[in-house]
Amino acid sequence: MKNYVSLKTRDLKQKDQLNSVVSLILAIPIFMIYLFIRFPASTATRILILGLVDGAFYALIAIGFSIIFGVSKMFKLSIGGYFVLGAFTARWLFFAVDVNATYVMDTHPGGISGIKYMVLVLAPFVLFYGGIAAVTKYYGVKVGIVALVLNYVLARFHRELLVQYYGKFNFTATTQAFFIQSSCFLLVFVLRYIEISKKNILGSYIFYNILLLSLSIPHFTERSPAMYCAILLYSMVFVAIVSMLIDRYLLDKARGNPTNILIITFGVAILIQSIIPMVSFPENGAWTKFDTAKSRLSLPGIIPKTKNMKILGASVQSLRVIAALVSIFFLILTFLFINKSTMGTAMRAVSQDPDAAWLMGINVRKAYMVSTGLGMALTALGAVLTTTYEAKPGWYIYMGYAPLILAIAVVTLGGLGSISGTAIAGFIIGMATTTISTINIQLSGVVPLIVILIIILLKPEGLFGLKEDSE
Amino acid sequence: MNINKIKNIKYSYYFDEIKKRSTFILGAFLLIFALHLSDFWIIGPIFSHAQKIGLLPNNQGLVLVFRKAIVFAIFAMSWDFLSGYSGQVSFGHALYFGFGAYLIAFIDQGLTIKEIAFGPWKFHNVKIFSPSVRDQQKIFGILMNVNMIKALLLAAFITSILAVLVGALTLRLKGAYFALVTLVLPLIFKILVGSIWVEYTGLQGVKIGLTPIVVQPVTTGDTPGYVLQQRSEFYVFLTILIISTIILYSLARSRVGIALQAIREDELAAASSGINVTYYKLLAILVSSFFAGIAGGLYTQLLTSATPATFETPISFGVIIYTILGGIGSIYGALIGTIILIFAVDIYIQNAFINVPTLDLLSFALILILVLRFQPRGITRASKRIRNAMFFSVGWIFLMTFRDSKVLFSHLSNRYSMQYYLVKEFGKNGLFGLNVAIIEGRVLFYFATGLILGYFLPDLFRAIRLKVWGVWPSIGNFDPTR
Repeated sequence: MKNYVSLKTRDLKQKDQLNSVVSLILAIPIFMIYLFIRFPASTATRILILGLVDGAFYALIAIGFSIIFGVSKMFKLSIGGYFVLGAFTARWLFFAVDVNATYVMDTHPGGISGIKYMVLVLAPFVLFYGGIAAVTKYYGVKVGIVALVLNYVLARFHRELLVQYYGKFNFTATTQAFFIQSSCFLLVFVLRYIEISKKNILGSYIFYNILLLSLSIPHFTERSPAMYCAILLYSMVFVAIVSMLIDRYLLDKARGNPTNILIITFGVAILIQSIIPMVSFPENGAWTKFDTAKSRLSLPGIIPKTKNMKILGASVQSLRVIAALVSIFFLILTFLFINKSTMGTAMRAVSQDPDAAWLMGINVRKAYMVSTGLGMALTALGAVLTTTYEAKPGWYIYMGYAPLILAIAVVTLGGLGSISGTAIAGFIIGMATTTISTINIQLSGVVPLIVILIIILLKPEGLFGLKEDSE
Repeated sequence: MNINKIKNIKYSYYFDEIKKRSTFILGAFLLIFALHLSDFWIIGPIFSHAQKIGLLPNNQGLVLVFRKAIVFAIFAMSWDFLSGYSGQVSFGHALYFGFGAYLIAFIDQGLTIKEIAFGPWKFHNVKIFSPSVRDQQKIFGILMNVNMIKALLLAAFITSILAVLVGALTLRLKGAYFALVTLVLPLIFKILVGSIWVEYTGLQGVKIGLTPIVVQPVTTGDTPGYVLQQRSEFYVFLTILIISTIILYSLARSRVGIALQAIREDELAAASSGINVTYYKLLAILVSSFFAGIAGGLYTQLLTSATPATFETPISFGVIIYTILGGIGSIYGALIGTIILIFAVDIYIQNAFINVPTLDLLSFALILILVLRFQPRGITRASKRIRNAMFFSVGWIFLMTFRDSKVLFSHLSNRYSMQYYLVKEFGKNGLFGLNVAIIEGRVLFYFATGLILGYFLPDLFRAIRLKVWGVWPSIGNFDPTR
């Protein structure tokens, strides 16, 4: 923490950033006073809370964008595509593990039709035992046997929880429990890839398991939170892997040509979005395909959309609050990763000077790949969290366009490559959009666009970005 | 040193020049005489048979495709002049396209703003454009509304002035920042036009009922009037295309183009060697937006209305894809890329696949990524082997589809039909949703196989020659002295 604080104070010594900090501190009370004069008190508090909630989402997406730009100096317009990919992967997994197995096994026992269903139903077991095999290979036989026993017991326990609290039966509960437990191995190998120490891997494994149980046991939600955690993790990792492969094999040659990268990444976004209608989605024992305009299919939330929560006298959708809490949790994790871990240090080194970092023995290519994967995984997380409650973008294949524009707006406002600046800018834009949409709903779409325009024309380095010397 | 070779330079000079441009000459010939190809010697029977079996669309279909292709070709060339030559890659060229589209609508139907307020000063019923008076004249046998031609030029001129005003703001931006600003600007105008200025831009953001450039003739005989009108429109558009190609190509080849290329390579070096960077950048924006405005104005002729969709990002990116396919930084590349891609997508790809609603975008994205990854200089300047493979595959398509239609090599096709085996092996929609049972599907299949064959045939040929003669044969340029 000391290192981080010292870094901040050093940054503040620059005059530009000090100015923007002072103006922000002045702007906050003025904004509050304006809100409480212009609107009645309940509306004003509602705007504040919704602004914070939306701001957390904007900050999450924009931080991914900002990390990628900071490390690999690439504007990746493909985040819209990965947003869509994350949301649709989560939906695919949700129905593949949840409804489909129920329909196939429980209502027609023994009647699995077709090899596709067979694969779907058996996949969690393959993942689980494959994970154990991988653990045995990398950590030895002893650890493997312990992992087998421990995880099997935990899986059985999750099965009982699913049967008792969340209304799943027989085979569905078993597949879901194994799917949930296999996500632990996924977590372990992701942490192993990003070079976290063995001790910390063990710690996060225990923490993850305790989290799953402690969320599931009180059963305050309609659907199993452990299931959602597993789906979230799987879709994030899937999106990260896709983005890393594309970064490695498609964008690596274009590195250093910013306009080509803009064009290729936009092409990737279009490609991902337009491939989705070719993919079949499992739904209630049948395979359906997305049409361009079909918004009937969507990812159900962990609790019903209609449930509201009262905070300071203002009623807010509960799903929004949950999404905001989760995204703030992941924001903190990202900060810790960047500032504390070995890989994060390597990424910061690469962002300052790739050649020097390479000479010091840092795997620069891996730093690029990890930054891309991290950024896109955060985008996917944002997608899974927000598309469950958000009605405005709707569930259609081009829904990634609005987050892209928002991310660009937030990043330019906060300053390119400055992570804390991006987080603050996310909350500013969240406040601005909610305020203006309360006044006039038509204008709310223009806000990020006008922010981008004004910031780039007047102050291209943003609020907290470092001034680049022109060539 | 071979003295004979030096002697031969003189008389093989024109041969080389013609050989270099032979494909362009052929392409221009095919485009200009597209509707009369069946009257020519040798090409005629082949062409009419290709139309009969559905390999090529009929004349009406050709007119419809080429009208659209010509509009976007002008647009793509204008983008190439700004971004390919001066290096300011614009991601929002649809801004000028939309300006052109809406301005021609305003000039045609008139624009009166009810109330403008500048602080304390208020103006009522400000007449900006009065509705234009129809002026019909017969030019080269085509009855045209000459006022619409004037409106087109005026709209393009106003567009270029607005573009220079906007461009002056973005002059100091480079690379990604310039791209982001240009990406955002058309979106703002889309919202303004689509939901905020609805009072002036028409009901639900669409201004309907524009005066056409070509007056619809009375139906005579079998051909309906609108068909004749579309055919005349094709020739009018073609004339505009030829004029704008000549202007843009000669500008790009002139001192202006060289100065712009110098700015693209190194702005500082260009400035220090006496090039007025600001002047040339603004000039590039002016010329480019003029032609983009013309393209936008012509696009309203296709739709007979101006819509907010003209400002959308797919249009800005479509133009980038067309240009990159043809070859960035050369005006003819944009022209060729646009015509080929629109022809391929509209006629073959959209019909060959079923159950894929986003097919045009999918193929656009794939082409964009593959071309930028493997041939970043575009197909017109691709390596000679790839170009030869493409020509080979076009010939291959004709050969195979003619054989399937049982006209050529009928003794072979009676026994062995590719179509029969394809459908039998892969099913009707077996190959990634490619429907090989219809001709469009087979055309794409034969194109792919022809490309692979054409790419690897020279190797095979050389290997056989090596076996037979025992030496590596040289397949160089044609040398008339030997």
